[in-house]
Amino acid sequence: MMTDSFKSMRGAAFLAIMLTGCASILPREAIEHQAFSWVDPGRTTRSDVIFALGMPRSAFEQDTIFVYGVSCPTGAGCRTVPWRGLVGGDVRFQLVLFFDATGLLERRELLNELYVPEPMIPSPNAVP
Amino acid sequence: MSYVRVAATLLLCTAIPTLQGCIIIPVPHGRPDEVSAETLSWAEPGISTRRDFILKLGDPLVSQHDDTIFVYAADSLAYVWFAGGGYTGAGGTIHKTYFALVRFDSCGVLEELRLADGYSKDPCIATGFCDSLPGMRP
Repeated sequence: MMTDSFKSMRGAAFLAIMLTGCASILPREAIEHQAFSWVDPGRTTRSDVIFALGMPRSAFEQDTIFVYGVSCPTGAGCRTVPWRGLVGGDVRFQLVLFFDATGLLERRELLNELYVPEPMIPSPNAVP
Repeated sequence: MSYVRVAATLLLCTAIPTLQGCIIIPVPHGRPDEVSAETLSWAEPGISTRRDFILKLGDPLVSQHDDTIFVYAADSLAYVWFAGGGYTGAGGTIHKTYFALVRFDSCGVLEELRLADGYSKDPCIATGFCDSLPGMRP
């Protein structure tokens, strides 16, 4: 005959097995701080960004606005991607950078990706 | 045998093998916040700019005519379907896509904003707002 404590231990063991491999996703602000804090408005230049991240997914207004796709696989670091979305369960963001006329970074924003099409649609600037 | 019976028998003979195990479940859904009228209420023609849209929504799904037309899209799950018969089965989801169609003047100031939606309908063709979208089947 099973006791109550044995039953609850059995339930806890079952949950532990079922939840193995689950990893929580960091909130957007934490990802922005951890992965892109080096992209510093007033200090970072457009050349610095291109050197570190490559060409953006989209560029607007004479290259004063860059947009990078960002993919954050569960349990791993974030990386910029030239496509709008990746296959799988990655969390997707877009890094938006505004530069002034001299190429100095004015503003940095990390936004949620609105739409992940299937099949993937490359942006005009995408280099696979 | 009457004509009605023959018709009913034929209908049953056709329906039973083709529809067995077929189920479509509608999922309650709404327009995603990002492309809703409420969320885009900040956008004012003659005042808002292309920079404002990129700052709030990021880059568009499609940009046309020297970045004077932007198309933003977001989708939500509308149906879950499953079909099975004998030893085989398949399932999937059907998404409804919602669009914000945005037109700027040559200086990048907002001229017009329209909202559209559809399962596979090209919003550009349906509204005459822009050139057809790649990958959409009107």
